[in-house]
Parts: sequence; structure tokens; C-alpha cells
Amino acid sequence: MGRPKQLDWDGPTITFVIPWYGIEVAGGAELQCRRNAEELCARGVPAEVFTTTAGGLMSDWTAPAFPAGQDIVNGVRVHRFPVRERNSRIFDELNLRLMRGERLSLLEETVFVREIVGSDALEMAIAAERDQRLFIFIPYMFGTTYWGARVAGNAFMIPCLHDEAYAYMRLYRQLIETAHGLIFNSPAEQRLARRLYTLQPDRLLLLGEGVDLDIAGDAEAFREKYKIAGSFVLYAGRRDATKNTPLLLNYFQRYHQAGGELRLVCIGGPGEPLPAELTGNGAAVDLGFLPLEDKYNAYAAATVLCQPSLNESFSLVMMEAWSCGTPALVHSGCAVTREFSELSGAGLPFRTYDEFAGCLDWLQEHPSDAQQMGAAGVAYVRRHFTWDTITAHMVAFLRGRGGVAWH
Amino acid sequence: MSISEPADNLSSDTPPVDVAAIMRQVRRRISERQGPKVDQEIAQTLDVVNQQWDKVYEPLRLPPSQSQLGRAWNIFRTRIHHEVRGYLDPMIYRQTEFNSGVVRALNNLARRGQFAANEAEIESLRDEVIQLRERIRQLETRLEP
Repeated sequence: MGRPKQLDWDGPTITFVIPWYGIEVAGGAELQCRRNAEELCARGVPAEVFTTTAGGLMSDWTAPAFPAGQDIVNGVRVHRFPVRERNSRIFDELNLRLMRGERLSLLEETVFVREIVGSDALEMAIAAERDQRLFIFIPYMFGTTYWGARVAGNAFMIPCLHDEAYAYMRLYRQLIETAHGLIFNSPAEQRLARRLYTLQPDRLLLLGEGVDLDIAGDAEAFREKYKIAGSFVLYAGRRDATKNTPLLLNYFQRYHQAGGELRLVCIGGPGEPLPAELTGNGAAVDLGFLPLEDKYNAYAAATVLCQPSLNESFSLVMMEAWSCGTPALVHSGCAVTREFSELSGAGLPFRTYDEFAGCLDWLQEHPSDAQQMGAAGVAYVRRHFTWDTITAHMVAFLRGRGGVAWH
Repeated sequence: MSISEPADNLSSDTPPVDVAAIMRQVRRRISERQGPKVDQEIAQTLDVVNQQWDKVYEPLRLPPSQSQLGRAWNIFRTRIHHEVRGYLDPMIYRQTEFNSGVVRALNNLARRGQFAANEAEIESLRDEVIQLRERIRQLETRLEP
């Protein structure tokens, strides 16, 4: 792997603001933030991170998982600030009401954004350095973004927006509408934002995410190491209701009972265990977390990657599978993965069990067409989502929206 | 795409694979496989309900009897039967009316179903509507100042 193409940047230090940060911190936005910061640094663009001491979405936010202060993570300087005291009981009650589809009053919304994870010290640091740094907030719904963007002035944001209850809150509408620049991960996400909010087109950048293309998947190495023979459907990621994996397991069980020949291989996790009826006869296998290289080898070995999730703002695993020449099977209820599949020609959408099974049969019966779909995926990812392309577009957008002070 | 010109919609110039065309093939096969089976099942069920919808009352059948006791027993049973029917008949009438309405509606739906597009065609049309709607949004975006 050669040295990345260096970028010309004479502006302030690009500073990502995110509620939690670290190599071991899970989540799509968290990974996107970390990789963006690392890839910008690798191209000579000064990039740092402001975050809290919290350990992640599923952790106790007020219990520090990292010490406050400065740290270097994969070459990126990280500034961690303590989380402010919060009333988790009130927050949980309001959050539950949002999950049930209720709307909150404006006063309740204010309580919600006050009690979600945030940091007074982080806000003070942003206020103190607002002229020396260019702040990019990610994602939109946490206190680090809501309160941080207010003190930052010209705030950029990677909202990672979904069609969810938070997106309809009036305070978040105001936050997003007043952002200096918004960076979107997919056409569907940008369309959703334009449907929900009043946004000026010149403040928007449809960018996507960077995909690591340095690793060439080796199908044979995967089959040999994990003793996987025959054709299989791959699922990569956490297994729970938010990822719609119960539907995948239900459909796969029916497919298997109907005599379907493909096996199901699951990697990543954690999540619900696979049904004993599938694991008992070897129709499905859970390999757990794999090293990065093995994950790419699994992509390359699979007949198809299934992405049943309904709530994606990009789907990095789908792009990674495409980069290895493997087509995807996506749920047509997810506008993001469905649209990417149509634009690239590398994915098939299913809505019902019959379509799920029909697509698997079609891919098995048309191997050369499936290969062509995989090739379309490789071309699409290489065209739009190399790190050189992503970082160059981001820098050009930030420079264009930066104002006269440093441009 | 040059790096200085970000794509406005992350599209491909010419997608080499027509996903919509593949899905039409998949849905046509589903339809071919399921269509006759489902139609046959519906036709058989309809046949049964068309024959049975008003068979809710079994008339009283009394075996002929030569003995005095037997005849008295039959008279007693007939009277009891008439008494009970006095209560049951209004309910039976309402149930029969309801059955007749349901069967009529099912027959109408089945007739319409023969002329309506099948599920796969509806799904294809839904795809097309989504694509056209998105195309319109993209064009609107381009037209905005």
C-alpha cells in the first residue's frame, strides 16, 4: 500500500465532535468518525477529536470508560472531557415515549436534550477554540452535537439521519436547519433531510463513506481456515431486532425447510443465538468476530451478502462485500440500501419470503449474472468511496464553506 | 467523476445490471409457481362455501313408530322441537343472512381477482412508482436555483 495522496489544506484544525471515541467503541457513526479522522491525518490534513469519557451507546454514560485528557489513537489526537451529571430516569421515560411514537412538548424536548449525554467541559473547550478549529459534529441527536454546535458558530454536521422519532423533534429541526454545512451518507438520507427540513442546497454535500479497498478477499483462504464448503449466504454484523435479523433467520429457516441449498454463515455480533434447528444440521453457522482480513475473505467466498436492516444511513458491510465482488440481498423497505442497489446494479431487494427465496434461487441459477453484479459493485465502490475521493471531496466542501477567515 | 466535482446523486453513468429487470424475472417465476396452486385452492374453498352457506338447520326426522308409547314420544319430541325452534329460528335467519352476504362478497372478489393484476405485477408497479418518484425528486433538485 503506497502513501495516500496528500491534500492541500491551510485551514484550521478539523475537529470531529462525537459522544464516544475509541478503537473498541462500536457503532456505524463512531467508525465513520474515527476512519475519517485517521484518513485526513494520513493525507496531511490536521484532524483531531473532541469527545467525552463515556465508553459507548450501550455503556453507562456517566461512568468514565476513558480518562479525561489527551490521548493519541491511531495517530489522531483525541481530547476527552467528563460527562456532565444527568437524570437518566427522566431521559429514559422521555425516550420510551419517543420510541412509542409519541410527540414531546417543546419543554419535554428541552429536558430530553439536556439529559442526553453531554459535557460542560467539552462545550467550554469548543467555545474557547471556536476560532482556531473547524468543528464537524456527528451524529445529530446527542448533547455533544446539540449544545456543542450552538457554541461552535459555523458548525458542520454529519447527521447520520434516519426516519426515526428524534428526526421529527423541533429542537433537532432547528439544529439541522441552522448548520453551516451538512454532509450526507446516501441520496436517501439527503432526501429525507430535505423532506423534513428547510435546507439551502449549497450547504449540503452528498458524500458517502470511505471503504477500505486495500484488502483483496481470498475465498479459498476463508474456506480452508473455517472449513466452510459449498455456497453460502453471509450475514455480517450484530444480530438483533434493530438489524431485522429475526426476519432473516425466519426466512432462512423456511428456505432451508423448502430444500434450499445455500447455507447461512454469520460473522460479527454479538447477538441472538442462531436457532438450534439450523445449527444442528449445519445449515447455519456463527463464526463470531473475525480478524479484518478474514472478514474480507468471507465476503469474497460468499454467494451473496444479506443485509436485512431497515435502518441504514450507508451500510458499510454492503459496500465492503461489493468491494470484494459479492452481490447483496437487501430489504426493499430500506430506502438507502435499496437505492444503492439500484444505482450500482449490485444488489437485489426482497420484501417477502417468496422474493427472498426467489432471489437466492436466481443467484444460484445465474452465476455469470451474479458475477456481473459483483463486478458492478466493485466498480461502484471504487468510483465513489475510495478514501482519496472521500477525503478530497470533504476538504473541498469544507474549504468552500469555510468563509474568508482562513480560506 | 473528477475529485473536484462531487457526484450530486452518487449514481452510475450506466448501471451494467438492470436490477428491476432481474426482479421482474424473479417475481414472474414466483407468480408462475404459486398462481395455479393458489387459484385452485381458492376455487375449491369457494365451491364448498357456495354449497354450504345456508345449511345451518337440520330438520327433525322422527322414525315411524307402531306403539302407543312410541307415537306419544314422537309427539312430545315434535312439540319440544317447535318450542326450541321458536327461539332458534330468528338466530338461524340472521346467521343465514350473514352467510349469504359473506359468500356473495367472496364470489365478487374472486371474479374481480381474475381480472386484476397479480401480486407480482403489483410489486413490479410499486417498484416503478418508487423509481419514477425518485427520478422526479432528482430532476426537481437539479431545477432548483
